[in-house]
Amino acid sequence: MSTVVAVNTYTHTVTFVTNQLMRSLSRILVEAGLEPDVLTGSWDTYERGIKKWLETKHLTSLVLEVYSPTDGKLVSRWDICIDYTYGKDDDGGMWFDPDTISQAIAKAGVPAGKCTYRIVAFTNPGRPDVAGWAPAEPLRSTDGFVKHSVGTAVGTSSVGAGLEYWRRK
Amino acid sequence: MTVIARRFAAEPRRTSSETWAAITATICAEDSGAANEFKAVAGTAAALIADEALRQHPLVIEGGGVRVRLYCIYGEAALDDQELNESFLAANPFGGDGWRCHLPCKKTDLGWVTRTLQRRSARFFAYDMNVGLGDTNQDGAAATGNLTINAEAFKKL
Repeated sequence: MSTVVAVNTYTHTVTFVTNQLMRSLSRILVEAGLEPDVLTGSWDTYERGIKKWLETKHLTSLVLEVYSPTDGKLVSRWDICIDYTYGKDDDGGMWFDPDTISQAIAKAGVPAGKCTYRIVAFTNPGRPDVAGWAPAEPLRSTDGFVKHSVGTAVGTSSVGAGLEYWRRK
Repeated sequence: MTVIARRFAAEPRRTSSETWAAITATICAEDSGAANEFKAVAGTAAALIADEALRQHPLVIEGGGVRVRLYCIYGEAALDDQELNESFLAANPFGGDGWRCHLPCKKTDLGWVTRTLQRRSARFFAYDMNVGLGDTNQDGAAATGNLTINAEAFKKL
C-alpha cells in the first residue's frame, strides 16, 4: 500500500511540474510580447516530452531561445533548470509562483522588434525517445549577454524548477 | 433553457493536454464534427487549462440546444472523485449549425487567445473572465424567461 501511494505521489508531482513548466513558458512568451502560437501549436508534443523526461528524471533544463528571424542572432534567453533534490524535507506541498515570472520579465525587458523563438530540452544521457522531438542545433552564442538568476518558480517535495534569464550587457 | 454542468479533473491528476482530451472525448462523444473542432484548438485550450483559467470561470457551449458549463478542478480536489462530474451528456449541445464554445481567459490574454482560436476554428471564442459571458452572471445564474436557473446548483449534482 505505501509503495502504491509513493508512486502515485511522484506521478502527481510530475504532472504538476509538467503543467507549471508549460505554464511558465506560455507566460514568459505572452508577457514578453511574443505570440505563443509556436508553443500552442505543438503543446501536446512539448508536454509529452517534458512529462516523460521528468518521470525518468532525465530532464535537466528547458531553454527558451528568443532570436531575430532576419539574422538569427540571440535576442534573449530563458533557462528553466530542474532540481531533483529540491524539497526533500518538505511536507508534500506543490506550488507555483507566477510573480517570479512577471518580476523577471520586468527586469529582463521586452524584446524590441519582431522575434521568434524555439524551446530546447536538455536531458541526461540515456533518455527515452519521445515522438515529435529531435536533436537540436546548438544554442546560439551568449557573447555580450549576462545571466541573471530569478530563483525557484516551481516547488514540490521532490522536484523544483529555477528560472534564469540572459540579457544584453 | 437547460443548463448542464460538468467538472473535470486537471492537475495533478492530468496534464492540461490530457484534461482537454478527456473533455473532448466525453463532451463530443456523439458528434465527431464537434470533436474535430475541439481537437483543432487543443493547444490553446490546454494553455488556458494550465493557467487555471477554467478553475472559477467555465467553458460554455451554447447555441446548439442545451447549454453546457464546464469547470476544471485542481489540486487535491482533482484527486477526489466526489468533487468531479465527468459523465457523458444526456443531451446534445451541438445540434444544428449554430453552436459556439466560449473559453475564459485573462484580459491580458484576450488578444493572442482570440487570434489563435480564430485561426483554428470558427466555433471557438474567448471571453474576459472578469467581465463574464453574455447573459450568464458570474455567480452562475442564467436568466431564462421569467425563471432564473442557478447553474451553481448543478455544480453540486
